[in-house]
Amino acid sequence: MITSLFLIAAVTPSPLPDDLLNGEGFETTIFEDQSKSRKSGKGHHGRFKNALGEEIVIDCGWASEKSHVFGPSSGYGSRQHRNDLANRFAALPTMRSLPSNLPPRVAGTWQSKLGVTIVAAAPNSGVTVTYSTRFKNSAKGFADPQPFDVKERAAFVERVARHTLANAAGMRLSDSGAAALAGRSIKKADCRRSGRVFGNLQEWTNLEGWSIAEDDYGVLSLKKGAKWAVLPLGADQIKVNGVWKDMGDSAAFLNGKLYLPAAGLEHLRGA
Amino acid sequence: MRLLVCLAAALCSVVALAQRPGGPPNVLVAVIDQRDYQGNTSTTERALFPTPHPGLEFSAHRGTPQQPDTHQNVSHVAYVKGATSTISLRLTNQQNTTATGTLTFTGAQLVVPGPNNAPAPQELPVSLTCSSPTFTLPPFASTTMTATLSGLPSHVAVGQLQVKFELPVSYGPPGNPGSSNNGTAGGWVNWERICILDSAPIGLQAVPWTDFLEYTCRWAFGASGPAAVRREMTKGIFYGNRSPWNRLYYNSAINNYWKWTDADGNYIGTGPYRLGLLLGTLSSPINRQQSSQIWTSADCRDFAGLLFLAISSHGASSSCTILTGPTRILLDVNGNPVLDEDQQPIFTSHYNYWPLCPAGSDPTDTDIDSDFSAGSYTSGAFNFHVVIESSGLRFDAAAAHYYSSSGGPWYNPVFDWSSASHWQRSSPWPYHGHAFSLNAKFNFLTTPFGQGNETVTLSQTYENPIYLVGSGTP
Repeated sequence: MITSLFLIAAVTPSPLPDDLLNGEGFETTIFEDQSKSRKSGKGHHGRFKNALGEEIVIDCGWASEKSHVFGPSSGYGSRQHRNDLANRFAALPTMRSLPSNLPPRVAGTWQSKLGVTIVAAAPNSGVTVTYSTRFKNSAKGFADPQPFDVKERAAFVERVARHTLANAAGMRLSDSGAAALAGRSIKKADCRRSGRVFGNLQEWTNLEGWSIAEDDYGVLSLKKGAKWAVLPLGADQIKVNGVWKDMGDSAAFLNGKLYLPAAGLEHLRGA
Repeated sequence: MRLLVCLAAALCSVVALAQRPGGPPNVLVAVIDQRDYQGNTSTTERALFPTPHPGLEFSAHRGTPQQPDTHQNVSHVAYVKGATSTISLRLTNQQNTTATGTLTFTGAQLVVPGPNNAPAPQELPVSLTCSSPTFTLPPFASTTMTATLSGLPSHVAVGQLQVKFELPVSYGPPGNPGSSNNGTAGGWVNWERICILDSAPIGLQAVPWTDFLEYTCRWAFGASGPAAVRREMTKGIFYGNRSPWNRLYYNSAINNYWKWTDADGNYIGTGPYRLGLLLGTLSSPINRQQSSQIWTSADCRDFAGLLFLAISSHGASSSCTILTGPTRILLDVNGNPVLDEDQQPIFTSHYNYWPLCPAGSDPTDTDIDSDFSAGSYTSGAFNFHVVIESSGLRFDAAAAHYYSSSGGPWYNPVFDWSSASHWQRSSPWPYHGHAFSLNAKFNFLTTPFGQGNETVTLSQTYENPIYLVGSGTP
């Protein structure tokens, strides 16, 4: 279990989770703002390498304003959307979901001896994260991909993808003071794209007596006595006492703090 | 740039104070402070694109009372093979007295990267001559001299132009004359890097990127004529010809440079090719050492787009061909439909291929070690695959094929395969080529050989990059 959830949230204007990656020994080698070459919305590309030579590459696109055209014409989460994501690579996907098998269900995973690639989409944002194992050089100058812990690395790639989506969701929030949400006065933020209201999750759970922990996949577990909930970052659903409930949007990091759509807080309140 | 000027000034001071063995201090009088190549191809580079390089390649002029400082450094100069190459050299008198002298080139060579099995640089002698080598320069004045560069390779090449020259000068007032030699004292000095193109570049590389030419001239080094350029460029990208420490690795689950879908999964068509990002990731192959080998992963789209652009930088045409199987319901091993989360059948257009070795791996490692693996070769399936087509021939720099299209050993990337046999030959069975079957995976151990091989219906479309994206840090 990872308990330092709120310390590793990105505080940069980019959704790429530098702090999370830095904490695992991955340092930025390339960063590109690719927004100008997109039809609409924003796009960031980042590459990170660790001392061993392993590499993480992240591509994230998101829409932060009402004017941004984003999302498939078939609608977010549609069969067409899921098929398009699964077929976007030349290789067949290993799974049409994330390694944890938890939402968002618009996702795909490709695993091979070369690494792990994950594609996932949340409402108004999408991300591709690729982990590449390190190469040794053979005596004849060719590459020799080195074995890696597939399960551990796949989980980490999923966690990076989830944090990136949550950061991207935060890019469209504006701090809007405090308000009464789900029975508590907490900091709130407004989504510039949808007008939806979000509330500071940690403030609310502290006041309500819930505990939070994050697992290796970027999935939060919330507990209060016999009540429990599962909140996969990047998903627009929360599982409360065993039942999946729609939140209308995904959780979002804003200024290093996690905000949940008001509907999500109400689901927790009603647990 | 300011730092460069300071360094240049410091270097000039050092030269001025240098003392020839047994002689007086060698005063810096006449300096070649500008080089302007003539007859070369207009170029750019990723950091400058779409703005072309300036016409004047090199200027390190120190300010004089008559002329302001100018400094410029375009690292590469491109010539189409066989083009007449002349260099306008500006000679400037740095002293307050008249100077007379002679500029004589005593040597010139092109230092080219060696082949991967002997990567030490090789020296190709060339010739540089001044038609009117003598000069008389009033104080702080400049003159332009023309040098002809000849003996450049008559094939695709790249290398560092090195020269040595004598530049004896007399200067000073009649009552107190002095003499000096502002030549290279018998040593080689680096001028620009010279790229030899097979033909005038076309398409998206009509104004070629010199940092890209540094690679394309290595990959297709030695090629002459469009057919050879396509063939050697294909092999060159696959093997990292003459750039053994800056290499591409093929990974079909990575797509970094030529994206067809947006982050939300929408098909965006041919889209931009991020050549700047690719070159930034590959880094420069100049002066690299084996201890820091770079591997850059890319998928078939990235490879095909790269090959398309690389051969267009040498004037050869082609198109990117997308190969897919027919759209159908995905079946499991028992022949039952695979269902999605909504219990609906999943549609697919995948196909299985004959065994492939990804670019970057050793294609000569062919020992069968399991059902689906022989050394560097594995069998598997593609949603789609992208290759290059030109004049009825196909090229694929991303992967080597275990079998040729006629069933013999190939162990190389696809080049010069006819489009009729590349996808799959029609007879006799087994149907060799790229596609093995729709649903069965090729098995190295199955007897009889080729079991499961079947006719695959061809579906192909053509897409080329429609524009390039420059920059690409670092």
